[in-house]
Amino acid sequence: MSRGEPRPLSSLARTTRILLIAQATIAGMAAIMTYAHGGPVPEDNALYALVVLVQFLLYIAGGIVFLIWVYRSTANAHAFGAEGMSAGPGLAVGWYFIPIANLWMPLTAMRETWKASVNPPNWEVERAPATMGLWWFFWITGNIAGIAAARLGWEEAAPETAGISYILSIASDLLTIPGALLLTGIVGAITRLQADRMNHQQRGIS
Amino acid sequence: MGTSIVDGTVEEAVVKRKRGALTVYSPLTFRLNDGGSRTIKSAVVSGDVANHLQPGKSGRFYLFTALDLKGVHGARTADGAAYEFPGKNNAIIFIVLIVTNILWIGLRITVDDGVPLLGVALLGLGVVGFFLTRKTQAEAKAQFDRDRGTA
Repeated sequence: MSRGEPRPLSSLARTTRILLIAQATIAGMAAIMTYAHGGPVPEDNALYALVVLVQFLLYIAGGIVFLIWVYRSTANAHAFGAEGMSAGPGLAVGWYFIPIANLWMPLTAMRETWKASVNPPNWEVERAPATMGLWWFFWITGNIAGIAAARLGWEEAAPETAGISYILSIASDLLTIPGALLLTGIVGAITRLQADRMNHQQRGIS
Repeated sequence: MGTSIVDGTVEEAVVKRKRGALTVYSPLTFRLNDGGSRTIKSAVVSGDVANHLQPGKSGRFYLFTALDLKGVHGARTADGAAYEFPGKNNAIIFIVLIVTNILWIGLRITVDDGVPLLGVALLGLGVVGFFLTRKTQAEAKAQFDRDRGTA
């Protein structure tokens, strides 16, 4: 693949982190509101509907900005000279949309980007921090809980599932909080690693 | 995803397991001619290529990454050259996945008018996996063939 020049990520990373913190905040608000209601919140609750809408918009906006950051950080890792990574920038983004593979390949690609940012020529000997595995655990479980809650919520013919949907909905929001905050840290750390490497390269230090 | 070349010497080649023609090394470390080093954890190697991966052997080594499978598909050392892409079985597995899930989806549509989401997900995985594996296999062969005639 073509290597190109590494590009600074700091402003993109800042936007990504702000959106992730906003996601964590709104998820906390949604969890509190759902819990305070003591059961599934009715559809005509305007305040809750607004929170859900903002949550959805933040999810979309945060997702787009984060994926741009993934693309650029992976491209930088390749530009630093890392070879043999399992994904180029396009595929690092694509993994999030490929069924089944999206259960583990995005984490693999993110770990490789971290390692390649630390030691590009021999990245495989590096170890990615445990926080990455933890982030991925919260991300996957939060998503599964959210999807299950939504699907059970749609089953109007089975009102006995409403209680489970209520619990899963709170669980999904609560799992989103540590997931988003851990990802904020990961985005910041990889961005700093890459910025340091770019500074070293500009000063002629390998 | 893709291929790369290492010009150097095998420094460490620890066999993790061996089954049939496949050998998995972990780690496999090369000392590069430019003084650096390159390590691959869980490198899959097939056929005669493994004979060129003894510590101390020098030459050109051809590396690939296909999905989460990594390894060495070719080598040119003083002892000669060898090529074999170890991901061929993966391509077959993906074809089986595609055919099975097309049949499953077709059956479900015919019998109960429903589309199985898991079947669609597995079909998608099969198509992407097959495409990426075959693409890497073609790149690997072309990469090795480009050096034909050189030691």
